[in-house]
Amino acid sequence: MSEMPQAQTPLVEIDMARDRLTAAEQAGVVLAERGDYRHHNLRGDASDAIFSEAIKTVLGVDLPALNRFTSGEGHTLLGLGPDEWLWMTSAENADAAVAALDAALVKTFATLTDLSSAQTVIEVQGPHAGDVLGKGTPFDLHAREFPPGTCTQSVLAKAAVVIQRIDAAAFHVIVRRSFADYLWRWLEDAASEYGCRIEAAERRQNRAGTS
Amino acid sequence: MTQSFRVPSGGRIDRSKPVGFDFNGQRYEGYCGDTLASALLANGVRVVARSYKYHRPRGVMAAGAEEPNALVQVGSGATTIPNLRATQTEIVDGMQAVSMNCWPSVDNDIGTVTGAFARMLPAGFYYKTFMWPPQMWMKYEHVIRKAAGFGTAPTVADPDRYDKVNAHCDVLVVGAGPAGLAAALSAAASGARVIVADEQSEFGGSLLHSRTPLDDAPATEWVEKALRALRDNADVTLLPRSTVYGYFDHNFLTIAERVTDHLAAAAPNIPRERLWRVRAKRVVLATGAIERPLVFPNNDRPGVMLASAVSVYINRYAVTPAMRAVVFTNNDSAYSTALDLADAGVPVSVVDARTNPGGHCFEALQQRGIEVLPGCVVTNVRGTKRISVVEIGRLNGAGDAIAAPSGSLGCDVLAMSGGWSPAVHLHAQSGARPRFDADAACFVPGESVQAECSVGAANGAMSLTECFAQGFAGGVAAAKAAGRSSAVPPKLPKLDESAEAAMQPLWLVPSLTPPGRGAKQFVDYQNDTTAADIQLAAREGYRSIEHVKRYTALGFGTDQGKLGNINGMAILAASLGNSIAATGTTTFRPAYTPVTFGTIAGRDLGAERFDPVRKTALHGWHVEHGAEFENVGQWKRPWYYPQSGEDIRAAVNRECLATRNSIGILDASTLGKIDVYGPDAAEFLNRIYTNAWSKLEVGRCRYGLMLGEDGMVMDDGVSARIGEHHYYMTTTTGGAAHVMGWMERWLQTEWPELKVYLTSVTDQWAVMSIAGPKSRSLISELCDDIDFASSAFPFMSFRRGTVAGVPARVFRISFSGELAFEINVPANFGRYVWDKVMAAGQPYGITPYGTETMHVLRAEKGYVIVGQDTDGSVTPIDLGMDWIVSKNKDFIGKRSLSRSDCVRDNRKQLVGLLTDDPAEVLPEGAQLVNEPSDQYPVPMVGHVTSSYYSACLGRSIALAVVKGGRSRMQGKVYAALLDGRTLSATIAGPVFYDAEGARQNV
Amino acid sequence: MLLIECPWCGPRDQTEFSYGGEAHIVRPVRPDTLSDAEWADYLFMRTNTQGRFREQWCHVHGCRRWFNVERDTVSYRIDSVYKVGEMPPEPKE
Ligand SMILES: [Zn+2]
Repeated sequence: MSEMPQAQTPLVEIDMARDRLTAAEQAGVVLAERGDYRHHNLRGDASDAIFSEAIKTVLGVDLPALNRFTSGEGHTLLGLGPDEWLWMTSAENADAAVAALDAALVKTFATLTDLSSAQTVIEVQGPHAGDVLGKGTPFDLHAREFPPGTCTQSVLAKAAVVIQRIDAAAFHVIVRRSFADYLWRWLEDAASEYGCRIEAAERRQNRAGTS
Repeated sequence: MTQSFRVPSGGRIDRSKPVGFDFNGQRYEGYCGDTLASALLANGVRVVARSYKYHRPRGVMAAGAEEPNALVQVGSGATTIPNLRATQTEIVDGMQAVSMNCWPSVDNDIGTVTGAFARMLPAGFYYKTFMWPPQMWMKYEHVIRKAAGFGTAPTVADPDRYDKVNAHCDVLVVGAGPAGLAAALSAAASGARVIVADEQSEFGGSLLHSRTPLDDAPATEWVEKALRALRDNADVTLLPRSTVYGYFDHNFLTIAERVTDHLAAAAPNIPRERLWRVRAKRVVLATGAIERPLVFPNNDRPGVMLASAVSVYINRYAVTPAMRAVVFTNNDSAYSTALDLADAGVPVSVVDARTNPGGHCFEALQQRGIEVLPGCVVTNVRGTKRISVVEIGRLNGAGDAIAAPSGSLGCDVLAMSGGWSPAVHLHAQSGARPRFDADAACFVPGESVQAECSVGAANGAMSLTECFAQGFAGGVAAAKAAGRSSAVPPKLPKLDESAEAAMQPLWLVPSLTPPGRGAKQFVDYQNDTTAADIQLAAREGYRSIEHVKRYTALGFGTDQGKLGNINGMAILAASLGNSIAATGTTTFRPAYTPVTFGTIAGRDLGAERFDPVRKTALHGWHVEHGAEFENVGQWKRPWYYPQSGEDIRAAVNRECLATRNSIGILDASTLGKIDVYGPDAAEFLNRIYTNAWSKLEVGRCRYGLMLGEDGMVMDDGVSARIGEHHYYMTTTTGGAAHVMGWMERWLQTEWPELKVYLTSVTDQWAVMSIAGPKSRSLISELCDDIDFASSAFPFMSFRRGTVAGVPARVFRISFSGELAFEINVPANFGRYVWDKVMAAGQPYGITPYGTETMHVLRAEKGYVIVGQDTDGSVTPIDLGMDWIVSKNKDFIGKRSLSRSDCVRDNRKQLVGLLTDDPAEVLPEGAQLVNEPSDQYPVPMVGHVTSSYYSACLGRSIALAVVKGGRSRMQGKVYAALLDGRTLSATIAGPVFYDAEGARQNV
Repeated sequence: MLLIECPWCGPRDQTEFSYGGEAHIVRPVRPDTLSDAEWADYLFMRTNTQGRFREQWCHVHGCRRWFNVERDTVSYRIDSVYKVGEMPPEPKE
């Protein structure tokens, strides 16, 4: 087949190009879908040298502790559980990294599961980013408790999410595909009192991955 | 008459900003900064409501949350709010307020008839009179409720926004009076994250009307300085107009913030009210104290007010409600009200129940030449809509009776003070028990149960010096307990204060006639509970304060007895010969003041936000093609796709026939999908499923049934072995999250030795099921790297390949009984592949079908749906699925299948039903009986679980569970319909179509 | 609304957790050797404790770990949390 399959990110129904709402300088909150990541769930034993070495070798990033994340070379690893991580990548060589990890992990009890279509990232930034998230999550987002470099799983509105603290005024919210539309609309509504701006990010033409 | 009771200068109102408002249809003017109550008093409005039971005229009595009378409904139409206290409602331009309780009007009230026959309405009146006979209650209630007046609920949707926020802090300070501000300052100085909430529009509490200078300046200047310091601290959140109304477990508190009601026009999208859900490491309760009324005859007449309220109106709102006043007290605090009145030019006399009042307060009055009548009490009040005269009596030596009348005093305001009750409500809500302090004659906070402390007047401290000291100490201690400590402690303000003379408890003022004979002595104004009512309850045998509350309605109103309860408890205690401590308090419950439904609901409203709407990757296509949707859990699933003019039955008939004859396509993406990976995956599935999985070859699929440990069917689905250690499990749509959590639990808690990882991949895959005799031809056109020949790709197997250029997992499985393929592609490519399949399927007449057709097709085949044909009380044996239950291994639920209850022969078993009239479709859920009978009760033998019209068979079909059904083939059962008819049906096997399974095995 | 300390993640709001009932109920190794009464005891019987109670919770919207909580069913006070397979710390009182 010569035709290139067309991908749609989970927020396909949201019109990101709407010319409306608030100018950048007046926006208390800026929302964007970051569909340019590939997501993989990673399970293994951090004390298993084969496992941790494989990660370090292939991704060039150390396994983070639970509720922390590490980044480098286009790869980010988030500690979701004592034996569970989320690997997100926008790296050019992601296909090769997947293949290399798959090959390396066969040697031990560990597994990599493609979730690139299963979830998306909503970027929430701006001076009121924390206020908007605070409307929906019981987790304490104060910078003293939740500094850049930390992440957590929690509830946001009525969806289960991963929240990643990027910097003082920016968060990434990782949400399952089927909840993404609901959560985006909830966020837009929650942000309306602060002035909400939508930024249309590059929609990913992602590779189909493996089956 | 425009604001003729306004003091010419002073107060915290903004005289440059007049505000016009309507009260009971009449136009008035006040100033920005006024409450509705202060503005009405400024305009000389004295009667603001009628009482609940006797419809007596009532006036403003208090200046805060404790106000029992001045309850108003503000606004109209969709945004109206009932039950607001005029004392806490700020006026805004154009505001419309009406009395809640004045049917048909405040001044000319039909309910005074009730008043004239008031003796017919003693305590317990409703219970004794109207509750019997019970069937009449509906009629009585209608009239009583209307006469009682509870405000009006809007009948249309509220257009305003309401919101919720979650907040966390080291120290939550409740109340921003002297103690609260001191606590906030010291906690903030320690580096703590602090939230300060106060129900009033302005912070400062009693300092806003205090006569005591701080640091040699008016107290309000100190307040402003304190607020500046707090505002400058980024870790301090100040919440005015915010009522902390609930104190729940583990220091979780709720605050209702009124955001925009005080603004004539608010910015767009700002919520009207905001619910704060606060988790505080420590709580400092600086909620102040509530002044107690005194209980004497006609103590409810308009003009009888709390002494402190009179001071608040004079000093804070520049309103003097009186032309001539009398102060009636048993303590020193009301003496400053006498001074406030005198300063405002109002002639005033003081009636003091104490025989020997003295001390500096007394002397201050002497110096001003204000008359004090010691050892005297008010024995009656004259004047109905406005008091004119108070009658005085001299107490006997014991202070328990009137020795002699002592004349009368003309006045239009009687400012009373029976002492102070610390506002222990939140302390009590936290689980602690307030204790009675006999010396101070009030309930004070008891031992803390949660991480809280009370400071200031809320803790029984009645001097300003003490309030500041406790506040500062409390703030420092709270911050320290939360892990913050201070380098520089903040400084206490300098103030000059002399000690007060002792108060003399006075719960029921002695009167010339016994309670119940003379004029009423009200204890609870809002519910018209009198001293006589409480004494009657005691005579009738009530002992517990909780029972007396329910019998007399003491404390039942929206004010929760803030004014009346303590007097009521004391009167009950005296009637029973008990101490107040032994009588105890009623339970303090949230909410401290009423909270609107809007605030509780927040933004979780409507189709978009009440519950998440989960959409598949193909949702847009379904919408574009006119699908009707059905909710399956939180998912939106296409139900059927009506073409023009079709009803559901016509559409489903068409969809069914198209699938059986050519090709149908179903969006099956909502099925739960779980990757089960690890060397012990097969062993794990052996334990989870009823059948055996070890020997399943890679590339093959198997249907599996999961039971609860009780042996009842819990979930089902097809799972495939996609690798040596790798299985791809599917679950029902509704059961997905439960199954995932449940399996994870077994792995973590019972079988940690099993090397298995579970990963939910439900959202990763878009799943389209193409079913029908032509499905093989169609899929072959879209995929050139899988051999679809039956021998190469047999039924119940799985292949990897590329469909429309997208890597896919293709399963040859069927839920319709037809030749069928399930295409799984990464969901980002779901819409692309679906569009390609639809385009390629055009020549075959490919027909999208929804859940209704899916149900009909599977019912024709006798396939059960867990949760529809099962209800948690059905075993696989009941379903006739013995074939899937392994005899050779243990699995979850196996042992239960041989419990005596699971093997009895009259269990309900799954059968088919064929109505004797093939055009009649049985209602799902219909109960089945063996004989139509008029003899009730008719023994019920089962019920219909699934029922449809089958276009393919040209008749109705149904699945049912019937007692011993499998041994009753060809037997009759009957279902009674709502319309009175009875349908008869014949018991049959559950498979109605292609029983040998030939169609899916081609 | 309880504040529960996940042994892995620290104190979190109750919203993030799901409840699992009484802890330390071990599935019999050989269910087939049990009488109906013995099996029913495992299946249905729970202590319904008033006071200190050991129960299972799962940090379902967090790290997904099951763990044990020792909680007073009257005051709701949580005395200890500990991982699956561990026994509770000795009472401090
Ligand atoms: Zn956790």
